[in-house]
Amino acid sequence: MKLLLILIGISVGFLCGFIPGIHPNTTGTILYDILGQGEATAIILIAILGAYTAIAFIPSIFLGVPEGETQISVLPGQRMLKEGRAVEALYVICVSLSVCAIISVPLIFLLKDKFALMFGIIRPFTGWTLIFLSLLLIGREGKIGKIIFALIVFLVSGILGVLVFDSHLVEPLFPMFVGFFAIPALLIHKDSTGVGSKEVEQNYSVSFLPYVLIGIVLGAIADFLPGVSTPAQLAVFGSLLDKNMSTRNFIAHVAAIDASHTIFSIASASTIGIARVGVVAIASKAYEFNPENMVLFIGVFICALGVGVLFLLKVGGAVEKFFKEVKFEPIAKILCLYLFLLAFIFGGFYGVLVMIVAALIGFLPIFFGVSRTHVMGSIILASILRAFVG
Amino acid sequence: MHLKFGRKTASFLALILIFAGFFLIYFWPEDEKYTSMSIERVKISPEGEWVEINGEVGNITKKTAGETLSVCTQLGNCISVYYKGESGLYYLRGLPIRARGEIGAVGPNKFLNGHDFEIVR
Repeated sequence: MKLLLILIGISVGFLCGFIPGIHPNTTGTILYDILGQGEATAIILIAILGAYTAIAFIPSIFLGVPEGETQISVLPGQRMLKEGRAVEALYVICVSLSVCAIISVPLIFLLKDKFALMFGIIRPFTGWTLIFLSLLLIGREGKIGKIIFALIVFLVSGILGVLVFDSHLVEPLFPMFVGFFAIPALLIHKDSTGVGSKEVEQNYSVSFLPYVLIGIVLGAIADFLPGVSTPAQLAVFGSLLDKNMSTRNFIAHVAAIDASHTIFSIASASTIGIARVGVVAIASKAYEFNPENMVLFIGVFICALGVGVLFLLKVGGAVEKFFKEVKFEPIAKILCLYLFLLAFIFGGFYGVLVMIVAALIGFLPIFFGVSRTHVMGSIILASILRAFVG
Repeated sequence: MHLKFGRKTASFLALILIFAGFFLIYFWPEDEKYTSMSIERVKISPEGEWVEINGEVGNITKKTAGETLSVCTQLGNCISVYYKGESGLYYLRGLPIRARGEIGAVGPNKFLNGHDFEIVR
């Protein structure tokens, strides 16, 4: 029975991952309304999350559309796609997700009794830590002119973020991040046809593994920082550790944060009742998570994640081949329209307005010549305010 | 770092995940006696169940034998926990604790026969 539920969850997770804009939070809410409370619902939801965690990297890399927690992987993913290294990017993601899960699960068993203590220690310092790291992030631009431009992007994005989080939008991150990343990427996209695809190598270096380890730690921390709504924030801060972090290292880092954040979220929901990942929160509403059944849900998650990773390895090459052969321009136009339609469905005219404003802000870093990661001010500023104001 | 990986290694790691997942789902030994519950859920659970709750220390009342303390959520929902001995929590009001015990009932009201306490920070 459990196996059947996991397979249903994996199938839905694949659909959510492949169709841009369909987030498991939305699907999870709908399924919860249909299926009601019970262990079966929780198992399906966690399996959706497991499969989605892997598959969501496909639209991020090939379409430039941010999915779930992968927002920040869009830019390096697209860069690797243009360099003909999309398959390498997918391989790196697969290994990072797997290694991260293999390390995180035993860590949870070692640390589960300390979660309440860790939460208590970290909580009071959230706001100041975020301010300090934001200043480092902006200061990294080096020259005073660029620092000012970066600060403008950070603050403008931050104001939009505060307004959006304070609004009625069901999925506030969707129109904002699609606006920041996907719309500018789609509008200035150059066809990948003709870009040589690098030969799929038999062996890639594992030099990215230290970044996976850092990602595991940051993903776990994300669960204990009350104001941090997405691990993408921590991925940006993680990049401060290495100013010249390569695209593949960054992608490995993001994948690890994503998986670790979810695994630790299941553990924190089971031990201290705090679920920082939307789907985990819905699942724990459907069925009470406790230290006894934590093992079951972690098992379901890593099993679905493993299937997702295998699938990613299987289809990665074919997907890259497809995008090399088709003209992307018409797809980009249709995708733009589709994303605006989704924004309208999820948030009405306000959702569309948010997407347009976010898209305009998304162009600012390109004009200013500063890093696009400063648009993460949209969630960081809101987190800082929440840490101090509540 | 000179280690290398290819598609086979990546697939192998994914298979490890799948098998580890199955092991955790079907073969992980269940050795916990106490079910972790919210205070609200204890109030609707049957007598005799061994549970573990998290909350803050509220009022403590000395009894002829032992003491009764309230363990409360941040929303102010409380449950009485009776402890035969001295819990040692007398001066620690407001402190987050984990209490383990057996659900008891006096009429419709549920309480916990406390087995042990643990300060969680």
